[in-house]
Amino acid sequence: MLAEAAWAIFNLIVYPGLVFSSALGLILWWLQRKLTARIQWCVGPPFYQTFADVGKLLFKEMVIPSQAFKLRFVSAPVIALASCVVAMLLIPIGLVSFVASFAGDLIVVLCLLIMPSIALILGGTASGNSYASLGASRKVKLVIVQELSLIISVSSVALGANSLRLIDITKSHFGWYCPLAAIAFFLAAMAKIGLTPFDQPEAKTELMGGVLTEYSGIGLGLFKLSNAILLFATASLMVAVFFPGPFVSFLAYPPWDWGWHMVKVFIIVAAMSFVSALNPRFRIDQALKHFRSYALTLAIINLVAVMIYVSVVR
Amino acid sequence: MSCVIPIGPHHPALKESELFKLTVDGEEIVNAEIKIGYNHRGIEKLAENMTYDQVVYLVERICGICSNIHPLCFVQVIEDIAEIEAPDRARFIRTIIAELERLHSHLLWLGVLGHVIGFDTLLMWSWKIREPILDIFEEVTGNRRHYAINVIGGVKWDISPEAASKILNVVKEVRKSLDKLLNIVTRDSTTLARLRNIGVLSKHDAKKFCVVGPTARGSGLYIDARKDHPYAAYKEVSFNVPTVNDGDVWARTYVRILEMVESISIIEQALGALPAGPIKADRKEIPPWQEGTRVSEAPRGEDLHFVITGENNRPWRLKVRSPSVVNVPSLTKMLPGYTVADSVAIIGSIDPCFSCTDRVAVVKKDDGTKMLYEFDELVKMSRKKYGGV
Repeated sequence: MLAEAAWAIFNLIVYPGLVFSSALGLILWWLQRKLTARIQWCVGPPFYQTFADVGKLLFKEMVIPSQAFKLRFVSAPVIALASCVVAMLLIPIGLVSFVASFAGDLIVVLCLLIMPSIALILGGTASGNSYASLGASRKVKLVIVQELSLIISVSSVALGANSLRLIDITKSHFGWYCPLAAIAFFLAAMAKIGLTPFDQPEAKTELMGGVLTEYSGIGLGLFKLSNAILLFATASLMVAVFFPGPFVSFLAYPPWDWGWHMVKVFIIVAAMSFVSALNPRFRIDQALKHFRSYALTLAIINLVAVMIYVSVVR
Repeated sequence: MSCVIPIGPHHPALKESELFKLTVDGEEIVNAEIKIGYNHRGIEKLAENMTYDQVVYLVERICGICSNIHPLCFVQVIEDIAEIEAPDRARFIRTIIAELERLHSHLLWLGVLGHVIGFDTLLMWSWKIREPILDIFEEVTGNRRHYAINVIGGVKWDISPEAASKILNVVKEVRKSLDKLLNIVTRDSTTLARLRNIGVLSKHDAKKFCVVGPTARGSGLYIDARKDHPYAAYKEVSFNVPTVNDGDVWARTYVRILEMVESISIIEQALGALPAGPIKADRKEIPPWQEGTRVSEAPRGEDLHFVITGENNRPWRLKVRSPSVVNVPSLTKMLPGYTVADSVAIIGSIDPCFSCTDRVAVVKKDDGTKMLYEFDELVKMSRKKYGGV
């Protein structure tokens, strides 16, 4: 009993919880920055840059604006970080679900991964800043389309795999037959993380940081950290759902499956960096239109195809 | 429900301090109010206490980007007044430097536009293309910016044959890179989506606001001080003045890229026809109580210098009207009806140079509000004896 509790705490704090996912998330964030810099003919930061950035922020003073709703303003970054870390416990890495695996954990993961966006909206509206409220209103619009495409794209795989348990979905390898849904997931994930074509809520040059305008010190640090973990979590979920399994038999056994999973995560983050570096930021109405006409349509087409496949073949 | 979103005085999209108060309804801009005057440095007054040679350096510091065009304009006024004729070689060197400056200024601007629409890769790319041009400036004049090449009666530095061949190589490389940029601006669908059909300034409005430079040419107005009032060696070289009729941010972008192509052709022609001879004429006495005016085409549009000479080798009055002064008010027409996301691209599209702009602002005595004048009002005012405010 005690050992179980200790193991659960270890999982939450160290692996694959806070420490591990923060470290991996920050490395992935660095990879994104480094690749972007290389595309832009710049040198790019050293690998510890993102650790230094977040570390510095965590030890700086946090200014709470006088017009802010204090509880909501302070708790928003904590909510974002906590939900990302808990989601990491549920996403299988490789072919092993390390921690908690239960029927329907896919739904829990999807809900937990919405939370960082919700926390941004909460924090933005609580800060009492006009830039932040405008950013939050953009995020609200974006969340609706982004989560809809994400959920529809994942549900086509879940339907094909005939399970809502992530590890079963991974082992079924059905994700490989849903390329259209994978594209939809990819775009939705970019919007979730706030990478360039879909970074309207922050929009540095329009809204001066948008939802994050009033955040400083540890609040901003926690948001950045949760975003890094979210980057890892969404890429990891994408691998688990859409690109599972090994090509070679030895990759099916630990620790090789773990390494193979990470390689795929890095490739996905690299692809995201390319897309984000080579596109300007959409206007919010263009982003919504983009989601409606591409991501959502692709996801729905895939879902219908899987439905037909399931009802005819099985 | 409408609220006010201030763009400025300090904002990541603006490189200098200026305030645009946008009244927004959701994302849509309902009204735009412009407050200028954050960068006023009293340069015109300073100039009255300096000798003509010192003023050349002073006006160079009006703007960091078009730092060649202000001294060029000023020395030409003084040359007119003192009846000094700059030698042919000096005129050609002035043309080459002015066009190189246009190249680097437009590339810098393109990068800034990319940055404000969230396309940082465009920023890095166009600034990388711009870098060799700055190296050329350093090679020829000794400085990357603030070249201080114009002096009364000619130019300070000569362009050696080696430097000339280097310039030719650099512009050839820039020409190749321009095709890539042109490709991005004319073909890339996401970039087009951000630039097309926003900030439209019709030809009629462009005339009404008396806009100049690429802002006017993007609205289909054919005005260019290089053609209308030729100076330096612009009569001896052949070039086109590209105009686009669309009047949106994309049109102003496209016009600038086409202008860069023309600039390269001018540089090549001028270097090919560079006459031999001295680069500086002899000094002459500058007579007091004379006046002179010159206009020249800065990268942002028409730049005007008006001088009344005074005693003690000092100007009695210097009046500078830089292009942004006339372009900035047109934003009140361009901004309403578009979204906050477009606002920074629209503001950026006129290539505002606020240090240049802050010469004078009309403030009403009673309530302290600042005023902007349209063309008709200005004409009316100019015909009354004392402004008639």
